[in-house]
Amino acid sequence: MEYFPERKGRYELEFEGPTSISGLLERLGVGRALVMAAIVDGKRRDFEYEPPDGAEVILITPPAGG
Amino acid sequence: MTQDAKLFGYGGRILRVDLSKAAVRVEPTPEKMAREYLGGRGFVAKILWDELPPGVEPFSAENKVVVASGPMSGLFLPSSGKIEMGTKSPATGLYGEGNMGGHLAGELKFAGYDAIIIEGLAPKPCYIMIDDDKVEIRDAAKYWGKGAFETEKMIKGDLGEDFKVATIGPAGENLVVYAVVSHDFGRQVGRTGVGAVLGSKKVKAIAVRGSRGFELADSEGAYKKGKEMFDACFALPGFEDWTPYGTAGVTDWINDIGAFPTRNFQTGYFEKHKNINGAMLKDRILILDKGCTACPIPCGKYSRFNYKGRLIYVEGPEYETIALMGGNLALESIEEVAYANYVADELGLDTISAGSVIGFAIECLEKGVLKPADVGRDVKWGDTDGVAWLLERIARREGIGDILAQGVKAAAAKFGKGSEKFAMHVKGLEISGYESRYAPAMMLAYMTADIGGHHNRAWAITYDAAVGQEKIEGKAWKVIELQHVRPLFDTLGLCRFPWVELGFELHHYADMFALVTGWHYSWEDLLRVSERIWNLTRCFNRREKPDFGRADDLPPPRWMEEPLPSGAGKGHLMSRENAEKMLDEYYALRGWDGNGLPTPAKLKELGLDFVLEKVKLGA
Repeated sequence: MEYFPERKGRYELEFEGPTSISGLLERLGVGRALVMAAIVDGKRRDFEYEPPDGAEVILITPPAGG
Repeated sequence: MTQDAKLFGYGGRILRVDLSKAAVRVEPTPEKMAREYLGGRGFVAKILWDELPPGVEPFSAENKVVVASGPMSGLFLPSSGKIEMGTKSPATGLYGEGNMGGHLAGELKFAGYDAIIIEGLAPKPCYIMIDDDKVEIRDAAKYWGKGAFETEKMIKGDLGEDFKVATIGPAGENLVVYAVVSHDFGRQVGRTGVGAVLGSKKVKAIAVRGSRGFELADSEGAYKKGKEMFDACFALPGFEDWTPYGTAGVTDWINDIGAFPTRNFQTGYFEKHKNINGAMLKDRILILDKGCTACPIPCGKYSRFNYKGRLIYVEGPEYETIALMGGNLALESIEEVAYANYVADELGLDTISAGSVIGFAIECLEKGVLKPADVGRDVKWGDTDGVAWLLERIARREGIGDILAQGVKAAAAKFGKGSEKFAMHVKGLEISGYESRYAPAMMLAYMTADIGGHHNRAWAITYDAAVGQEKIEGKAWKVIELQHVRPLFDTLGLCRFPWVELGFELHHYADMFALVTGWHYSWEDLLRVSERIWNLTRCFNRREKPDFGRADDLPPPRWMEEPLPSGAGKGHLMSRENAEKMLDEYYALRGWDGNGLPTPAKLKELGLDFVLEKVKLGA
């Protein structure tokens, strides 16, 4: 969270048309390198997946190894 | 040592075991030490500073092993199962310490002890049995020579399953300088060779059972706070997603950013990483998540698989083993990495150091520094059976294993022929799982860690990714912040994973500390203790190595001279000039002099004036 815009943990985004997770990151201003995995409505998805209307998207930053 | 008042949250006693005299003594835990150093890593550092004669030989009777839980070990709050063990390291000749999860920390406190100080040398193999007030040094002849897991199983069979047992394997018995202390069939105190020092003292195991309990300042408040902390943990985004993969889940990302040790850190990207990542672990060999005391996000992955007709069970592999025994040795399947993990664990070897040493040996063979006749056979990249063969030789110190058992720095000095250039260590401790030529903050973390090349103190790779992997300046402050926060967990007796993996809020820990101990330390007060300990271990290193300073903080030659040949960081290295710049910035922010030594003013500020009586710092 500390590396995300305004150090926020939650964002609400509204836009027209389908957008991939990569596109969401661009809108948020979050570098792709900072996101290890994306969970959409409870399932891991790749970054070209387009979340459906109303979806909850969780962005997982890289954990800390051992 | 005297005790001034009742200590809440503590066992209240320190157990001193003198192996030379076969004597056991119980002392009260000093309140002053508890208030100023808290426990865990703090107790280890302070006791070693106070009690070790300067210049002590690591395998001598005068060296000691300190085992210490923290004031929050064993409590009802997320991930309270960590214990610290420390000594003068045989690997580095400097401050040595490692931590371990499992269930020993809480059990030791329930038996009424905050720490065990093990000193002297036993005349024959023994183990220390602690059953509340009953403490005995018992004969270990029938366990000596057995593997770490086998020994734990035997002792539990002899004493009872409710004993929590820590063991060493043949590697510790044979004084391999990266021998570990094992516990709970898969947890280890891994770095700096604590297992070897126990082996030198002929201590095969420590077995603990505790039923005394201990008091908290506000039990009801602590219970409510514990529930609040668990609920907060469960509610965190990512809570459900992290556990299935554990630390192995980071493997692909580390490759993507060019930081995965590959073929002895020749590069930072392993082309077969998708064969050895978290998904492979989960889908192919995982049978059970395995956690430590009170952990809601068990990172332990218990695996079962078939390797050449043998059914193998092992806890792992976790990320560091995937890195140093996977990519670093170019093993191409999760089963092969898990098998190497199993062999190392049963022998009682640190998988990080062993993976680095074997990678070094393979590169020596590749470059003609060693010939197959020198080693006893040829071992190539991706050669799992060759890796297992070398692990056995190292643990038993047979043939080439006798040299490799001394660590990569000593082996390079012995082999020569330019091999020092690719011996991957800092301060004599083999570097752990992050190729850092394209991660300057992570490299600075390795350069300045008190025990040598270990990431435990500061994992700065996400910070590098967030602010730019190209950037050199302006990163030292983050490394210092992490070096205070992360080891604080080792001091309190807690695992940092809920915070570091899921973003669990840090204020919870200060709130709980007050309820447990009755001492109202702010989070900043707690960090101050961590800074105190950081400076103390720096001074310990200076005391043990009179010319210790800036030169000991430099990265290995490979990182300064060879640009990465492939991956996201292709072309990058850390020039000597930039390494020095990072150190200049780091030392200035720490209030240290240009040689990287705490100034008298900094020591006074931290209540460490007493250090000046025993160590000569700079001007």
